Amino acid sequence: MTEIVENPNLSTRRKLDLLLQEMDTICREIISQLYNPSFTTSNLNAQTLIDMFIERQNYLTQQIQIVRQQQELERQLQIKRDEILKCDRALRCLQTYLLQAVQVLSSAVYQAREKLANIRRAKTFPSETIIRYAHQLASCYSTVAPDNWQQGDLRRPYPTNIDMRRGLLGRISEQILQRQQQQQFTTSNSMVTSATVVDSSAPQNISSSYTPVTTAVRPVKHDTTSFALDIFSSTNEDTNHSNFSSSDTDSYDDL
Amino acid sequence: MTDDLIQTVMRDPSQRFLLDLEFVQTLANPQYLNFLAQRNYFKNPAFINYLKYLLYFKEENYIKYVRYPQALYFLDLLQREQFRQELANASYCRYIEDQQVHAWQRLQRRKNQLLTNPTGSSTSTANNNNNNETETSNTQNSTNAISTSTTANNR
Repeated sequence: MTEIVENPNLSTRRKLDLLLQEMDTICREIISQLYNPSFTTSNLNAQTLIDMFIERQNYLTQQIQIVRQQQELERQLQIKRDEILKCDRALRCLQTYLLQAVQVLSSAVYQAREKLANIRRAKTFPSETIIRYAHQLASCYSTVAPDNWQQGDLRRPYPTNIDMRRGLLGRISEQILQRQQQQQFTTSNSMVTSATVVDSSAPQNISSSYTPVTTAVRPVKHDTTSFALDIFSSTNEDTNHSNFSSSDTDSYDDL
Repeated sequence: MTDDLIQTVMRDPSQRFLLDLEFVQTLANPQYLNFLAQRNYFKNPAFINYLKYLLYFKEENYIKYVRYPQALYFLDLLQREQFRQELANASYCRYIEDQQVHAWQRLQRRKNQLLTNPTGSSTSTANNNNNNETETSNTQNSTNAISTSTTANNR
């Protein structure tokens, strides 16, 4: 019987089963002896059997204590298993965050490296120059629209007809047009008064004064005289005359 | 009196430079390009040489005078024969003008977005890499090469 109880290879359940079987056998033997004392299957008397029964009952009680301890241990184990599951889930979440962070960081690092390469390749300017030029560009809204720009606003990212007419080119063309008109007027007057033939090659004489002086050949100027008035037909003569006396456009105040 | 202004310009180097500067900046105006194309200026070899000569405005010393940097982009395009021929088409010039104005407004919207949302912003600059208008995207690249403050990088 001790070999059952002290055998480490047997489970508690098996031990209990074997103990109960032995106790059952002993009970039957006791009862059969009590019932029929002359007919016995074993050599043991009743007292011995009862002692054996009591011993096995003690062992049974011990085993039941062991069962209770084992149940408590099993409960602790289950608690630990649940905690492990929770930790697993948390770890998986953290792993996902880590992977996302790795992706974001790797792209950030790549772009930072590209920027550094650009900076190394770039030609350096003093920051004051850059800021001054940026201010110039921003002040005439040439690259970014003004905040209050609406449809119908005349401002544009390029010089408009008004700007062009106010500039040097516009003034030259206005002057030449005026001269041509004056010559036509004098021609018509002289034709009325004296009926002489007027030399109509005056425009060519004007164009001959625009000879190129650099290696690049400039366009013939008489063709440009009418550009301001041709395409931008709503001419305001008063504003043009007032602009003749004005200084250069504010675009060129750095020169 | 009549030749005063012209003679003054032709004699004075600074006035001639001013003339060049004015003309090169007018190239940013698509209507004016259409005007020049329709009057056959782009068929004149002297004029084409002049356009090639005006490329000196892309150098460091001269570019700082240019107020309309899109003009330099158009100047580059004007070196190509096909572009010069296309400019005679008024609808093409209107299309270019529309794209210019749209890009101009888009940059303003992006600037406002960056200014109102300084923390969350894409790492890309205002290069408009995701727009479809090639002419304006290259223009913005050239302006960004010159100045970075207009791109409103909140670094």
